[in-house]
Amino acid sequence: MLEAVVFYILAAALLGFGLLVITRTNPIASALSMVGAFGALAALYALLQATLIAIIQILVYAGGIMVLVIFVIMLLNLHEEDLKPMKARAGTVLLSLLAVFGLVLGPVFLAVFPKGNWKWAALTNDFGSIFTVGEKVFSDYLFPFEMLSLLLLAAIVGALVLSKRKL
Amino acid sequence: MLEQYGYVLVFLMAGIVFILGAFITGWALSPNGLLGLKYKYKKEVLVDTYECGVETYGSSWFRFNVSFYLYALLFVIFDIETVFLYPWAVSFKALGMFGFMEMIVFILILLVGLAYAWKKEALKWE
Amino acid sequence: MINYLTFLPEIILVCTAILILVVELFQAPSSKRSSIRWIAFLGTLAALLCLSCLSGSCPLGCNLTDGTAQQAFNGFIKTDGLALYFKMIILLATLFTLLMTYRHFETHKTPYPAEFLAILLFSAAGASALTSAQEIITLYIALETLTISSYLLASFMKKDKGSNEAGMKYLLLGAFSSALLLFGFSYIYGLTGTTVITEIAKSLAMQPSSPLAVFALILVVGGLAFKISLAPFHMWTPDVYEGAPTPVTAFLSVASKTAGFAAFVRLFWVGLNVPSLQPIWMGLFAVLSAMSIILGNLEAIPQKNIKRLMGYSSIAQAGYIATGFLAIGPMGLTALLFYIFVYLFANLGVFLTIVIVANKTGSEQIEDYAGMWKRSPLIGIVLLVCLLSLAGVPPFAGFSGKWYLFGAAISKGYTWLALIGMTFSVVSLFYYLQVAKQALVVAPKDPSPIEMSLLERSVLILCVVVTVTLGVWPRPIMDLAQAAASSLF
Repeated sequence: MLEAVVFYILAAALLGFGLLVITRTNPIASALSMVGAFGALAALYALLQATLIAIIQILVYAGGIMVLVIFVIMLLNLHEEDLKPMKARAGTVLLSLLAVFGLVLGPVFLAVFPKGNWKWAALTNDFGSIFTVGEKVFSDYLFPFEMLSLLLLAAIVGALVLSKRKL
Repeated sequence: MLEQYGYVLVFLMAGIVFILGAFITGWALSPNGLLGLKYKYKKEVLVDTYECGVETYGSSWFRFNVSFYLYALLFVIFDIETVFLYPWAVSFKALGMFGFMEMIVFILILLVGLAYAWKKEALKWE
Repeated sequence: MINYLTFLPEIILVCTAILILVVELFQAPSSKRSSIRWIAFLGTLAALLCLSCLSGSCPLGCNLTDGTAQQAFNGFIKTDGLALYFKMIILLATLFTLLMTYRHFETHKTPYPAEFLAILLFSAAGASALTSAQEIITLYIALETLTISSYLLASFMKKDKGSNEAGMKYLLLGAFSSALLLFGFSYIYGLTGTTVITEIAKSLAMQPSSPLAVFALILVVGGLAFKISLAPFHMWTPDVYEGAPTPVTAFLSVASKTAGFAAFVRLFWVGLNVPSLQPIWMGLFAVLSAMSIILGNLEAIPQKNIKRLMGYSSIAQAGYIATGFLAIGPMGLTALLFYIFVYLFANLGVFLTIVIVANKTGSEQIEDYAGMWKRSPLIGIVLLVCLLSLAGVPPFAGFSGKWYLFGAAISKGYTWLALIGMTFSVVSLFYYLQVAKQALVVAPKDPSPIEMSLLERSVLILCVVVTVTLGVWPRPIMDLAQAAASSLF
């Protein structure tokens, strides 16, 4: 019961912040609304017992990625006059939301979810705790983990090559 | 289940109270606040940045150097590396020596990236 | 203890890539960096040789294993014969790409050849690891290593607008498709509670058919079909193929597709091959395959740029290969593996000539291939043989390849699909022959000969020899493919 209440509050906050992201004219305001959305999302993860994911959401997304986004905004440095507000915004937003949910996602979710002839796989009690994740990642999932360091190395080199004026 | 996040809620509340408190205190201490004076400010004074010393000029919205972006990019990548240290540290004892070596390999590979960025002067301020 | 033999080729590739980066750090900015080229070449060659040592039947007699499948991490990674065959294709494609890279960068100067080679090897390592993955997280991370490196490679010429456009489009659409794939995986994990592909199959077989599983299935098909550019998920292909540096295009058209098909075989033939889901994905693939063959071939006809033409051609080729994928069983897999081998040599032969010609003329337009026969007889022959092989004309290897593919499809009741494939193979002859006609019949505008190095000459000759030989005598590679296929059945 309490969980349901918390869930709906967080979901509403997530949607609200999400709407703010796409409706604000000032890009910084959009970016900060996105931080709010990330926060709400992290809380939702925590509600699902995915503690590590919640921490990653805050640390990497609300922290790292947001810094990147804000730097990009400051690099482009668009002034208010460059950012003409879009006309008839509220109507368009509502209509497109209705179209996406009513015509695409809604039917899919209605078709997929309520027909209770399936169930999620059972979880253990300590599922998703940082300790269990650590144990799994560093034993069975060691190969993808080490692969990830290569992915990151390629990303570092690629990022420098593509964005640095001269190496 | 949810109780374990109780302290997060307390922190959240404290944070909100702190911000609201700052606003309320500011309002209360101003002449138009608790004192109830009806003082009319000039508009320029009202929107001016409160700062002592040299008067501010121009806008604080100016174009940032592109090097900031590179830093942010590198920061995100190493941030992701750091995230993996959490579960590793928590289950460190259970993993033993082998777990230690795994992390060393992971960090060594990323160190190559750091050495690369360093040598290529991506960390140098231009 | 970990069985390092399981991923020895990947270790070699990765160490080579890191070595390249480290050597680069100690190079003077003005040096020609020829040592780096040698390191990349030798590293890839070593990885390729290591495959034969792992196969247990090394011609040189240095066997590391007795030919049994090597596995590590509770079987999360397993290098069986099938994986070795896919790895062989990927590494051969990487070697070809390296050769093209050296020539391509003579005219298209990049200040970062070492970085390019390192990222290329990372990409190859990702593709290679993908073929051994028995578990969806490994599969996903390996796929991302491959694709993220590919985005970087595609946009590597950062002063060039086309390359930037290619990288941008590839990144945006690729990220979207990865998200779809991951979304599908998450539902599969939610339903089965395991990430191991064989366990997924067991768990799904015990459940009744559910709309959620179907939804997850559609997401996975969509996400992966994008990576191998099956229509209607092919929109990015022509733009990326045209804009990316030519060696990268060649790499994408062979290595990336091979890795994608490896993922398809592992995931669908093993993991989702349960009675409740199998008819659904078979139906989806039949439609995707037919659409790819039809759209790829029709859209290729009006193309003026040869890389764009090869882009559409590769969509159609993916469609042909998918017909073999539909024929679940040793016969279909053998045909698929054989065709990929044939496709490798024919396609990379064409791309190597594109690089050599563009190096001389600076053009990728088909009309500038006029009179290639006069300017370099070898290039004329390569274009004729490889393009006819891609079209599936006897007596070239493409014909026997398609023969096996369509034969396997017909034996499983997909006669209509085989008919579409055959019909559009004839259509494809039209645009392939247009290129060949330009090269062989039309008089050259500029008769100056096109020179190439001894290595390039011998590789081109190898392409022709392989394509012709496998057309009349497919036995050796068929045996290899059969042996590889037997590790799954």
